Amino acid sequence: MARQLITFRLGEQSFGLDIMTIREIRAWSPATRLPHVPSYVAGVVNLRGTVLPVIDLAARLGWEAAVPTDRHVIIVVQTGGQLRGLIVDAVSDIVTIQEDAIQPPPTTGHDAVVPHLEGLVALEDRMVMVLDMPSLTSDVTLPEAA
Amino acid sequence: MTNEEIQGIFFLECEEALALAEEGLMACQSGTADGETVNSIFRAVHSIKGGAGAFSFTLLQAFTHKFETVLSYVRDGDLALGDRLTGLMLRAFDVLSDHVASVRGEGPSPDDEAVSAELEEVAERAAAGLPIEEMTSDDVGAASVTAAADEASADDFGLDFDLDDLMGELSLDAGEAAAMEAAAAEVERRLEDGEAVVAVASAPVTDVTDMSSLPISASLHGWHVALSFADGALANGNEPLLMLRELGELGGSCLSVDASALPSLDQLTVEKSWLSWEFALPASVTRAEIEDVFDFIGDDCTLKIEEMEALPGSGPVSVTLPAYPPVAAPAPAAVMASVPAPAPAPVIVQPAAEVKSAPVPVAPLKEAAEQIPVPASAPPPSSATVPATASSAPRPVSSVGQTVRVDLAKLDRLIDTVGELVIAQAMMAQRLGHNGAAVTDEMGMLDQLTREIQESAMSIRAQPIGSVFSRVPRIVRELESSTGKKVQLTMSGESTELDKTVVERLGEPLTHLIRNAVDHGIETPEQRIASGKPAEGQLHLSAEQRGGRILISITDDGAGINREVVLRKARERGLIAPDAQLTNEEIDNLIFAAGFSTAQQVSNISGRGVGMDVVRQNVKDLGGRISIESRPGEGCTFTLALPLTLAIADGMIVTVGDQTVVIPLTHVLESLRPEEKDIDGIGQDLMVLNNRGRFLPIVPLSNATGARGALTNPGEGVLIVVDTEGHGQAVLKDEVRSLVRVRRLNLLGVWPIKRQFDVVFCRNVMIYFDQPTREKLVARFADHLAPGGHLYIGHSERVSGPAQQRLELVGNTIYRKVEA
Repeated sequence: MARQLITFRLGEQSFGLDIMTIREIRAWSPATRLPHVPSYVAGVVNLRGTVLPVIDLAARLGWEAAVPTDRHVIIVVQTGGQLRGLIVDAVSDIVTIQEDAIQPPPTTGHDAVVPHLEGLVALEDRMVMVLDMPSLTSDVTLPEAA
Repeated sequence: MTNEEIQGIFFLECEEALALAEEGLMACQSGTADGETVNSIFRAVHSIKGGAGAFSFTLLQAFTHKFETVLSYVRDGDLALGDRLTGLMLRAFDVLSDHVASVRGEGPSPDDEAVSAELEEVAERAAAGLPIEEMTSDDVGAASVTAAADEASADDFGLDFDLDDLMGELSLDAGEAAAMEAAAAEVERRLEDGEAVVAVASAPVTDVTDMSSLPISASLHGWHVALSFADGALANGNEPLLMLRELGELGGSCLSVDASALPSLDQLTVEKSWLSWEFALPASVTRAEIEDVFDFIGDDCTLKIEEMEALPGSGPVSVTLPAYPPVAAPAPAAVMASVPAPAPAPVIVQPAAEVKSAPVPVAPLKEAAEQIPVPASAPPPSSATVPATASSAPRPVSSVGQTVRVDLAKLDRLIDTVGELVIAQAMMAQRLGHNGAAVTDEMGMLDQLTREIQESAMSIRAQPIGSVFSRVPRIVRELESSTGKKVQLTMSGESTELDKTVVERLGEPLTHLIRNAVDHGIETPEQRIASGKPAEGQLHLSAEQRGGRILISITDDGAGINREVVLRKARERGLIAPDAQLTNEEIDNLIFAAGFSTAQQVSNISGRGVGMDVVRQNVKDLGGRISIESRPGEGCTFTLALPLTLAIADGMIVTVGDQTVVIPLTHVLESLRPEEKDIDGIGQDLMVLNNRGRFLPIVPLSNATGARGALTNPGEGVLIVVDTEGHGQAVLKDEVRSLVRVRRLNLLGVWPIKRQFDVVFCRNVMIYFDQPTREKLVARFADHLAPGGHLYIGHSERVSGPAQQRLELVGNTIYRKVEA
């Protein structure tokens, strides 16, 4: 079965997200900080009247928090009926892959990224890590602000 | 030979017979059965019956008799194999297994009432010519004459006794009697069926009168019918067999068969009918009804119907055989005694039941005769050719083969010695290399030969895993009936071989996993249909060899592991901290924790919570590992990775920082120096190697060994791609040094090592032993050290005991053996 992924960069590494989970991609705009939220929640932004939480993906994956600039991008995803924004460095491409081309993530090693991976996929000579959206956002139980 | 020993042999034979029968039944179930399959099941059941009779296991004997009766109808084509019949036979097989277990004292006597009754019912229907499910191919017209003839003659040849059956019994006092009894039962059955077209002569049956003492049950009647068929009967399209059956259906029973007209084989014309019969029919049948049977045959039949006054009651069946010399097999000596010296070897003759007078259609006799290997140069004497109703190949050779039973200890000694040989060879090669003698052809050949010897020695201990797998179908059937779930079991790789000890200890964990898969994994038919799956669950059992490991996987297409429930239970039971964050895999692995069970209800199948941790322990004890791959809603796969052997392993010596370690070569797929572009990062701590499109995590070996000063940049070192349970991973090494061989040695067992060593490393092992053991061990080390040789022990250990005298401390934890 073919699937389409949107690939994007975060630091030096490439990630992929299933295109079906993505609502839109928009330029970075400053987020409003929220009190008492996990450190990787960068705040909330107003998306045409809908207020949605924005997650700093780098921080979520256990890396250093991003210092957002105008070059950063927010990918708006829909998961479990809720909208989330993900801060990433840059969106790269839309690619089509076969379902069976996705390799399972490594089971050894203990990087914080691994639990959030659906799998790995080889694109030409790059490796793209396919993110498992539900696991990324499952513990962010923010009330719908709107 | 004591009676116990003979019984032991019988039990072994039972085991073989059961395995054979099950194999056949499986073939029936999968629709790949042919005539020979049914025959082999029949033979298997029959040989159990024979032995059971000899040892007076009456329950077992009675049950096998019923089972055998049904099987004989199937074999004769009176019953067509269909789902219902196959199901019944499978159930009968299970009961039979229980019976066998019960006579072995391994279980209670099973309740066979239901299955027995069903078997009887089926047999009765078959006897009456009623179909069980499909139409039988039996009965009708001239066109089927040949087929019927084939069937009938198949009876005469495949029937009654196996060679081994007899051999087992002949050595017993009771054996002969039992054999006769079995034969009698057979005659009786066939008489009841009215298809006693054949005079049956039994084993060392020189004495037919033995049989005359046998009671014949059904014989209430008022008519005496004598009949024989004219030469032209078969040619005119008549089938005497059908008429005899019809007489049987009218309630007739055969009083006698006259086979005295039967000529020797070389004069036998197959188109002629050689036998004549006398039948008794009950008074309830009218003369017209009897005559009706022979309505169409007309003048081709000589028929004499007389009213009979005296009831023959339990009169004997008299069988008149032509005056042939008896036949003996060369094999069982016991037979020989009662028999004139048999023909010289070239004629292979099956003794016993195969000796029979021919039935009406005799064509297959010729075939049988052709199978007898008769070298042209040495024509056998006539005494051997005359009773040529013997056929070769008494039992299927394919599944049993020729075997030698060897004491396991002897075998282990051989394997140990071979291990030494391998090491000696490796040492010699090394020494030659050091002395500048280049690797010669002879050395290469020696290396090759040693490896071959090693492999064949290993393969002696190897057993196909099929012996464990063969139990599974039964387990699944029982589970099906107790859970009401429908499961289709498929298996692959049954011929994969692994070490005998491993095979033997695999049964328990495997059984557990199968039960789990059916009890927890596969849903009820209703649930399955509701979730859009076929009502019948799939269970696949497979075995394959990969590298130095055997992978056994059990895959079901059930619900998979319910991670939420698992997590909740684990928290309830305090197996994990309430706030612990676990990956899916970690959650799946929780089911191996001791005291964990998610079964909603404790059933007698599984759910007591002592399951999976025991399974894991069992597998660990075998040097193996178990892993789970669960796909929620789609199913679950358990994979057992077991070592091929516990004895010898090749290893690769590598350097990591300040340490030198050995990696078992069976795990090594390749070693390489990666290029920068082949390495990718996952997050901050994890790197993967792009190994031709496959991403393998890179594990710095120094993490595991704690080596200092090891390389951390994969681009600079050497990566060794290793394989563990199908997940590849690359291990980072500084340098690959050389290949060595490593052998396991039980320090407390008998050491197969004969020579002395220059260096012995035994670090941090002795700390696990008590003081006397340590002292003993040190003494052993000292014994095996060459004068001046070194012993290295761990930092927390010390050399103690009397052997201390022989070892002097030359450095921290290093001892040298004092020159003698």
